[in-house]
Amino acid sequence: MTALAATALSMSPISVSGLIHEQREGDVQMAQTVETLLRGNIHGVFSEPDAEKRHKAIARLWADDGVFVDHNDRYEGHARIALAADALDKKFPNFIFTERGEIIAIPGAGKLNWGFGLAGAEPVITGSDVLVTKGDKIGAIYTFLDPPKK
Amino acid sequence: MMKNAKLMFATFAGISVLSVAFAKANEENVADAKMMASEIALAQKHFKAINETDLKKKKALFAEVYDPNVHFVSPRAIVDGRAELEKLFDEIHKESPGVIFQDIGEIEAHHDIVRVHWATIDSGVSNGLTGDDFLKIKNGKVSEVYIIVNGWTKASAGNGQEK
Repeated sequence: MTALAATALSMSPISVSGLIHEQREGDVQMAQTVETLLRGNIHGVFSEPDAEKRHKAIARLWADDGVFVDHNDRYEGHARIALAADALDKKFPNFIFTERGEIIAIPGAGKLNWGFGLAGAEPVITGSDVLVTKGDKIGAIYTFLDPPKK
Repeated sequence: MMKNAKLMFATFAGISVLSVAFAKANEENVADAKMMASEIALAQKHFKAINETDLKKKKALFAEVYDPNVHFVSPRAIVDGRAELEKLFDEIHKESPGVIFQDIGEIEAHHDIVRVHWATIDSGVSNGLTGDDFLKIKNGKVSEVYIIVNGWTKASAGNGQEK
């Protein structure tokens, strides 16, 4: 039973069946929401070349007081998040985000590993977004860049 | 050919601009560097706290590391408050004596958030479970914890489930 501490916080079959609270319908819906929001943000906001569509996606996905934090700054509210997304689009107009591996969702939060680069090419940089929900919208996203490979 | 050259140029341009961005991100001023160092130290203490089994020492470490109203989210449970978090880890230690969470790789911090990678060690041996913790820092204490379990590494998946 020594692996229980591990399973206590894990997604293994043991913990899913016992230690983690049972998968109720609400949890499944929440997980879907987390995944939809994480995907919507990297594709519909931060990879969207059309500014109008990008801003509409922010309004649709993000809570009014949502907070986006990356290594550069902390952006609170739709207008500030739009500034961050617009600046990235201006700096790297042909770059897009791609998903790397599976999204991991826990109640009210989740993580997506991403790559950033030209479509169809190896990503120039990789990182992770961790998302915290607020209702059915994004309350916060904390972004971390992976250190350059040595 | 021309297209490839353009693609390569765009990629190199991207790499160089991103390298500059990295360099800039790394050029923290002294105050920021100090702040980051203290947040990294706090993240290391977070592991010390959750692994501590001596109740008295654990209480002191929890008081040092976590905000009284800490919000903790994991696949197992969502817990609010330092006292409740202590109880949760009491349960985990009782269920799984000898298992600890070990930070691995680089601890990264910026703008009051910290990312740490971990693996579980069972009686001194890695049992193949890994994950990431995301910590939010408020007034020098951990105010929010999000535990993301990445899963069992393939080689150890069988071992982990058999125990």
